[in-house]
Amino acid sequence: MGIALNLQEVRKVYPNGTEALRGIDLVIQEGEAIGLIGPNAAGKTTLAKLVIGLLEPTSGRIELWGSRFGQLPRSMREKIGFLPEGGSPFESLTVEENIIFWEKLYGISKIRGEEALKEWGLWEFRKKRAKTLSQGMKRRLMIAQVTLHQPSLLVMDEPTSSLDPVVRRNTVDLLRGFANSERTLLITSHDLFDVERICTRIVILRHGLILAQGSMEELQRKLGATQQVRVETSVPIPEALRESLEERFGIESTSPNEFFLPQGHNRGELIRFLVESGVDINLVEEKKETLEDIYIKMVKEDEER
Amino acid sequence: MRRVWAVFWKELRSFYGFGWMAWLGVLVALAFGPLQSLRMGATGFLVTSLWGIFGGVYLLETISFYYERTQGSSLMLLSSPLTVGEIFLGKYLAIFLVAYLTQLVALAISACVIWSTFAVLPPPSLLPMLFITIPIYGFVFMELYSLAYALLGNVSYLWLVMVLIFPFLLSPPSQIMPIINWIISFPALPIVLGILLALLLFFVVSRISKERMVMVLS
Repeated sequence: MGIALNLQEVRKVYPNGTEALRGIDLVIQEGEAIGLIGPNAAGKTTLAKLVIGLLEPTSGRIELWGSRFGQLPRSMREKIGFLPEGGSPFESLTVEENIIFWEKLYGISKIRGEEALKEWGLWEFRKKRAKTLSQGMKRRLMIAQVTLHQPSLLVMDEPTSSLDPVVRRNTVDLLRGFANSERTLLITSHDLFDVERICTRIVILRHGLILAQGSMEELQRKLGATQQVRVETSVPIPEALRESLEERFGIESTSPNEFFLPQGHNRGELIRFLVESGVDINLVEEKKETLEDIYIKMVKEDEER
Repeated sequence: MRRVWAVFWKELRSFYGFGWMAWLGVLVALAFGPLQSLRMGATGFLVTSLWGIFGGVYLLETISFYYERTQGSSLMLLSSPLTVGEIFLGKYLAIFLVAYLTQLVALAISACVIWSTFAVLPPPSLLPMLFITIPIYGFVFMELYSLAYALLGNVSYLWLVMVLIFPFLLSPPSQIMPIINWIISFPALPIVLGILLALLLFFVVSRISKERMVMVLS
């Protein structure tokens, strides 16, 4: 597999002086699924727009499949799909006409268009004008449009925003399927749960710079993230026993009948001790740090620096 | 051409989705020329042709840009493999076709009005101007409009053009006819000039960056 996308020292300064990106170096291999996360105004949308040629970098170099965007042959440009944040389908057209437009644009068969309408639950709305659809349905239509030509590189800005839970699940499943194929995916999102489920690599942006990047495991390792065990008892633990648990296992209590066992302590030994002490255990579960925990930690650390 | 055709098709289909206000505007453009014909005689054909093309182009292009800007659909279009030139060409062809048809209908109505009132039809020497020269300059006006939109972010200065044209449209035939006679005495010259101007403007329009269009339309 080759390099799909290569960004070197990319800076973007808008005409009003806002420096959205301040030197981004990022290499994305074909087949990777990248999740761009970061607070508002971190530069995520700017980066997405630069990648698909909607914006031009102030300095630095962006290469897609080894060529600068301007030098990319038309056949390669047709392998890119982009879902903008907050955009809209063509509202004066019907749902069906919106799809037909993309069929005509990419020279796709009508059958594929009909499949997409059915796949995205739009078939029964096909004769309705797009302006009469709800926000979620419009978003669904846009996703159907940008995935219609089965792009090799799909860039999506907040793909799951304003979708109802069922469609959101469908979208995540579709993107996971996409991520498992040989195609490349770049998504920006505030929904860290979705990013965690879809992406193989996560890039955290802040103030126009990459704060950290890597797989979930790599980010967890970088942060020295802990893997705790949560224990819940059916009745509150007596004070004397709690003190003994703190001393022996270093537990962190969160309520009278719940505590966490930090990483590095023997879980089996703890359970034996509790049973021998006559404590009725309700639940023992592993609690891994989520992407949200990691993200919040990283942003806080960066703020403190 | 496949991509230009796709945009042309999309634009034409979009016109059906315009609200009644938009079509009321086009009807006004249609009616203005024939109404003027009632007091102008043969000169009314010119007024009808000018008003049909320029009014049609102005209204349709304004509505088209307005919809793209307010709906945010332009981002989808600009992020596709289409070039700015292809997007504009598709748009121009669709708008021009409808404006030209508007002009033809308006001219037919004018012909009926003028024939029944003054018992005259347009002289043959005027036909190239009505059906070729004026439409070409309507096309040029359409390009100027989009260029102003893309470069300035608004089209306010085009009102000045309209203000300049308006007195001409309302002037008495005795003032207009010498100018018209001078133009139609060299029919090829304004046509060739208009085509060259249209090509030059299209060259300039197609050089506008997508970034500029994103800034203006979103």
